Amino acid sequence: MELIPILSTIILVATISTFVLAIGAYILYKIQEGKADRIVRKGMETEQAEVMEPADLGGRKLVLETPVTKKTVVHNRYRPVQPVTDLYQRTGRVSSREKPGLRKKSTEPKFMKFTSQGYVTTDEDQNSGTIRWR
Amino acid sequence: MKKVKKSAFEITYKNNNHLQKSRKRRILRRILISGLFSAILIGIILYTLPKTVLSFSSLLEYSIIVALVIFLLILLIRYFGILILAYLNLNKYTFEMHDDFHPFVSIIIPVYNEGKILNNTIESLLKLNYSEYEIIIVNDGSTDDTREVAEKLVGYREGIENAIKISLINKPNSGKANALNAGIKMSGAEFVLCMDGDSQLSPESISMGIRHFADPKIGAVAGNVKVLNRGNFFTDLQALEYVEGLNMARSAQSYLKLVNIIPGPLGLFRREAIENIGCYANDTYAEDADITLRLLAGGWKINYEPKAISYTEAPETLLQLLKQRYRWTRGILQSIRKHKKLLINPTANFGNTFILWTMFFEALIWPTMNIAANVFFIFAALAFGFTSLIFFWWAGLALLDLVTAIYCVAAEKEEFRLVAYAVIYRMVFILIIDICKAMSTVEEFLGIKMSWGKLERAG
Repeated sequence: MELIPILSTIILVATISTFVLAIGAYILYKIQEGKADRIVRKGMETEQAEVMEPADLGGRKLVLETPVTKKTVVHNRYRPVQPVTDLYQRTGRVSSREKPGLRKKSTEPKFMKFTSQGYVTTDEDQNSGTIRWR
Repeated sequence: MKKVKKSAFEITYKNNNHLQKSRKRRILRRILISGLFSAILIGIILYTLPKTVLSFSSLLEYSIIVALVIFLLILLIRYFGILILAYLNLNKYTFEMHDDFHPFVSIIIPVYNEGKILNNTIESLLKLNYSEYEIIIVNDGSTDDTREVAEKLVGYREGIENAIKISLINKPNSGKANALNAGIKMSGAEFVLCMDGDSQLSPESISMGIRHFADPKIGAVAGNVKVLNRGNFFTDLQALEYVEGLNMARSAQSYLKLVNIIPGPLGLFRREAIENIGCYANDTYAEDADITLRLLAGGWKINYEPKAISYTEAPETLLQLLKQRYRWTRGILQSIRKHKKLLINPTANFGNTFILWTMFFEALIWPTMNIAANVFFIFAALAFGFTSLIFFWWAGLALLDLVTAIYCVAAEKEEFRLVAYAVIYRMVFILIIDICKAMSTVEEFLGIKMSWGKLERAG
């Protein structure tokens, strides 16, 4: 037997069944609805409602500790950056990082050298600067 | 113990429920007019037919062939039109960012018997990657433990970027529209986000949605709704429908800034726009469709944001699904009827007229065409033995749906397994939905009473 007649029969039966199912379900739905209620209102109406809202925070906004990363919009990203000549004049206050003379000078040696005497500073190293031939 | 301030709040709203006025007389008039038109049409056919070369049976055959060709043509134009516009929109908003725009947003959540899932909703809102927002829960006279659950949530809660204020309005039950209006009235924010109590938002929902408002013409932004409770046959089919049928269409409409429905699970509004049109109205059962149409009629533009995602609970059973679609269809028809003047007057606002016709087509014409085509193929198979016709019809549609599903799933980075459902999507799922739509349309036409139809929550 060919495939198309079989499929055609299946689809025909399915379509008829769908029709019967849809109409049957609709009738059942209407029976279930039975006593349909309907909101009937006329003219202007006023209702009393109760509002529950949290007490006011006294004008301050409650912000949680979670840090928020917001996108910053750069309107003109190719604007040339002006060189800052006078820090005090531009902002009125200067951070301690930018103030001249406020940076602490470290007294600790920056580099140590490992020798046969252990770790020594470059100044203490007696062999420093001398050329040794093997 | 946390400090909570309680105060009375008076809500005044104008209720313009025009559906109640002289209902019986209007229905009778409608039946008489449509009957008269049908009789005139049949009379013209019967009078002119003998004067042509056609017999009655050949007229029927030609009509069916022409109708099917038109159906296929519209189907193809609709599919490819949506896909192309959606693609253009997706490209446009992938690159447009407004990082310096961070206004304050109020999230309004109307809840009615959502005690089981309210905590999950609030949890998702506290994970939003946006700093300037508050949450206002509006308890619309729930009869379960929603009030107790919501009262426990009131206060300042830890959000991703700072503490988030959660407030609660307890009011008597008067519908979702009034609940949303109460929340909007209480909020002082320039932008409001309206959502459903059963929905959960993705972290970037506000940050992605709010960027559209940098354009002052944008009055609202529609979010991307996805199905939360997957794994069930019906919910999986709906997940595919949301991706393929709803979101892609919204994305295409967004390219024209004319989104036709701001979904209830996620919509961002400019306060100025929403106040301009008089907030939500409670005279339809689709307040989201109604407010969207009023915004468009007011000259505001509406965009769609695919990255503002709202995960919502979809109906899990067939009866629940029919209940939801019945309300949607009738609500949309009620909204269209409210704006019927714009439907026939394109000079006032062409965009709005176009959108109204699109909605009318989707709600009424399209389902009728789909049902008629299926009935014809069943009749041709049973009466004349042309069974292969229905196979080729199904194969063509299934192929089209399969290609669309692959594209949509890839574009939205959705689960690939949903593509498999495309094979039965149109012949089973859409047929059921269309039959429901047709029935709902008849009921709306006859003015049969309806109820809101609250869905059961799984929790």
